[in-house]
Amino acid sequence: MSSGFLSRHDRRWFLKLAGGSVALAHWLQSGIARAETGTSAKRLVVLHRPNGGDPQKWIVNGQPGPILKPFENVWNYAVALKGMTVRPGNNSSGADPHGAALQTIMTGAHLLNEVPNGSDDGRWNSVESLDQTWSKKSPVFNVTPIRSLQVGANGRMDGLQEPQNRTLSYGAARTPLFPVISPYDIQKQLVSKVMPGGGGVGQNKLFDRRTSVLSFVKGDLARVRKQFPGEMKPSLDAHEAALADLEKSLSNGKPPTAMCSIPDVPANLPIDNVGANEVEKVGAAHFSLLKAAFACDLTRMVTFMWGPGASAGAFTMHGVGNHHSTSHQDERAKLGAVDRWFSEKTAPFIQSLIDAPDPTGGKLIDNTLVWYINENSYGANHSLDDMPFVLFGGDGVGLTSRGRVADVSGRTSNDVWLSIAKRFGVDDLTSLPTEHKGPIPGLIS
Amino acid sequence: MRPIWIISFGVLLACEGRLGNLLENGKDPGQQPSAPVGPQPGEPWSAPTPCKPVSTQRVSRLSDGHFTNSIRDLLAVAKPSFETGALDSESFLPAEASVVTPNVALKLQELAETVAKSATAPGSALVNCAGDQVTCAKTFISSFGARAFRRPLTSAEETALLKVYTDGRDIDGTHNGGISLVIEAVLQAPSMLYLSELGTPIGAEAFELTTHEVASKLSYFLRNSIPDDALWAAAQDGSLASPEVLRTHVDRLLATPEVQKNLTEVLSRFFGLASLSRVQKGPRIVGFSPAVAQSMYEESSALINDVLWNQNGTLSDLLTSRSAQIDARLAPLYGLSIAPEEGKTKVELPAKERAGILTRLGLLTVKASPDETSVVYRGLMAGRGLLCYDPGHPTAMQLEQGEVIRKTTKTERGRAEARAAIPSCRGCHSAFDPMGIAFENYDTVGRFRTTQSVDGQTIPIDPSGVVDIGDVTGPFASALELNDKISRSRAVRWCMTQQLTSYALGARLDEAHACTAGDLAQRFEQNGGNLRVLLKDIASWSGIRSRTSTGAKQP
Repeated sequence: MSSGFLSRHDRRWFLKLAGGSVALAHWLQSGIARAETGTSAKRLVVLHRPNGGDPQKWIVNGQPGPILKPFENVWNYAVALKGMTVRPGNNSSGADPHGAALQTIMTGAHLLNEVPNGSDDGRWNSVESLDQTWSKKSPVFNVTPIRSLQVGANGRMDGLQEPQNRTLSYGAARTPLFPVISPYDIQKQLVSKVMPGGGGVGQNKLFDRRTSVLSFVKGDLARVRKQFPGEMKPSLDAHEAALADLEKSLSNGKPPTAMCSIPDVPANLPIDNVGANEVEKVGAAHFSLLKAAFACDLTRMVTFMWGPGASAGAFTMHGVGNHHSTSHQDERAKLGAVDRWFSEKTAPFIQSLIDAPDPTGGKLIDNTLVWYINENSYGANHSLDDMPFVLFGGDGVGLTSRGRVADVSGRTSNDVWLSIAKRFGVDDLTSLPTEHKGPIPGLIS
Repeated sequence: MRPIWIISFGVLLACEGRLGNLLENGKDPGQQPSAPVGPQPGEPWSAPTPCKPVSTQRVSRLSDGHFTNSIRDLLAVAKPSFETGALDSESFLPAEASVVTPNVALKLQELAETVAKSATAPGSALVNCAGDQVTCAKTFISSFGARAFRRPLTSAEETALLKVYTDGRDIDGTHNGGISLVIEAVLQAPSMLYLSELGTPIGAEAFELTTHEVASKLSYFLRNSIPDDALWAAAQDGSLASPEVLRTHVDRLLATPEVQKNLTEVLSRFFGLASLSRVQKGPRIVGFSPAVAQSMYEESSALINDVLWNQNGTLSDLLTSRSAQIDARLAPLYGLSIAPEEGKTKVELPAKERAGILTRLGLLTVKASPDETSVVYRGLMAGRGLLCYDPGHPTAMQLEQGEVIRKTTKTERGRAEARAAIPSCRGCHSAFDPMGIAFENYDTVGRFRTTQSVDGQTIPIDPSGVVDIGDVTGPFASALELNDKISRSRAVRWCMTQQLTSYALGARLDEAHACTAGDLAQRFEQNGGNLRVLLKDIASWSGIRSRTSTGAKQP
């Protein structure tokens, strides 16, 4: 059989080791180049938890407050931001503030005056989100097998399931890239990069079949491109990139020179359950996979959502049956307790990055920046002032003066992007459409 | 997002209401309270004529539900499980499907491989071939490919798919292997995944959908899936271009159980009933459980089904009927008694307490807070849903004031009165709060009550008020009186026309759409508000078949 665009000689091989985990002698082309040149991979994670918290327990007298207490063991890798605002731009008047804040944080751009289907008062985003732009254009990000990952631990909102609240990433205007809630699906995606279809007679057949199908599907995409309206270009570009990604899964061809492993995760995790215990399990599974993805250098750009904006999460141990519903009430004790819960469940991920070796030396945290965000400051008023943000990271990403609270009053979320841009290989991000002042002095070296 | 507002009882300092999405889409929200929507008393119904077709040429990815239903019908297999994050199963207007990301592509691949294997298992009719296998493959490709792509295949596509077949046959060494691979390829193909409404030119920037596109449009509207055999045949032979033939098919389809079930679910989603399965009530609320929620959904769905398909009824019937099928779980909430062994029992609900879907347990439970009722939720239920009035979202300061009112005022009526006393709140809230007050006789799970307990004291409930929106304007003494106004309102019929037309088109209507849909509203008025006729008119509407250019093609 003639595959058309791949030959059997290109097939990637894999090792499967005992112990239940898929292990790989894996070193991707970019990883090899990186190792040879001695440069380190730099990674960015935008990590969101929903519905605001209690500003009075976030930072107290300039010091980390009770909500941040669970981070005390990783505080040497943290800078809490005090006084930062999010300033949505055009068409945000009268718009759902959860979505408007998320869209503004992630795009830095104005909103469209268009309400998405599935929403009653949200607005569509007007441009691609910055994580997507950077992961395409920056050589720091666009060299990995998976350009970016969108992951979530709970996808359920209170009430309507509105698109603008359920994603951080956008491929273009009106083009949400919803997070994958199932760790099992993420695991399959990661494994597809480290054990593509080769190996044994059955695997050879699978490889040939998939190659034939991909050839047809790519051809069909090229055909419909000529007929579809121009407004479909972003979606079709994304589709084409996804097919290229599938194709890469078949053809990764470099022999392994180092070891990394993708942990197994159960196929039956509770992915459509808003209970705190269930969300914790899903989140923890995702974190284990993300750590592995970083160690294998499969991706360097991740957006993670503990829950959508206006999440319906149930934290019954804190008397919160519906997080969003409670967030509208002046229930500071409950809201602070829930936000502290997110701190407790996020801290182990940061710790795992501190503990895990980076293949190029040091620890994963050294070359990783985690921007810990929320779409509200205080839910009862949906305030976007004094946003509860933290940066976690190490020297490699320029977060050199750590273990402190940085007063960034008067600064907007855009200024975080502007502060970190150069470190992530983005030189042309000099302006964003919505309010900004520029890099924050002393934040990123 | 709506629940924010409803739960917080937001206080509007400067109302930024919009006349639904239907009238002012594309304009900045105004700073003044919105005028009532729909035709005013005495105004003519007719829209400016002639209206041009305003739907643009469009391509959209099939929703996860449409995609899996299509696979089920194409291959006679069980509906596969497939969820890519759009969560379209609860949304009234179909949520935009996720773009095909690497993860979605991987899931598509897995789904296609699993389905193809199942569909071509030994003994499957799809792989029966008495003669030459290549001839059989060509026949399969021609029919299956066309049904999946919802249009005839080009010769280039047939050739490409035949190559896929020979690849599969050679790899596996069997005819089944070839057919299976064709299925895999077709299910992952963009021509399957994207629904196109491009049409053929009929004038300057005007397009008429092809018969195949019309068949698909109609079918996903009515069946939630690909065209059935008869509709497909009419697309194939071109007869569907005739409006008379199209109406015949609409009539035929509306008589099928699957279409009736689908449209009943559509209206259930319109009223928000799909979210009943996720509704949570506080621990102090007795009489509510997931099983009760399920019974509530079934009861309200049965009402919609009965009015639409058994009674050939009107919107007014839906809003006033007291006929119900309830079980032992719901009976006590309605103040009735039914033994569990009696199963679902047809009853007439108390005349002084209930009238129509707005007063049924399901809707009243969805439109309430976990521990108490919600004037705002229930007011918007009527204002936003039935009168197409959209007030927008309050600001942070307004939300803070709303929370102050919530904490300092114990009753929902009292909170509404507090909002009415603040001029900047009154602008928007006066449009819908009174309608919410009318439903204060029903607690958070819809039980009828005449008193409520506040700080240990029992106080009477006053559900009266004065509503000031559209032709519903005027005083009312109770929910039943308000219901009567709503059920007779032309503005409500106008709004329902807009809502269902939006669903059929898969997109909110803008001002120009409202023009072209004006004739539908007029017909709805003339036919006495008959819902089945409205659905038929929408499905047969010229606006379903016409498009304008979007401009640039793909580079």
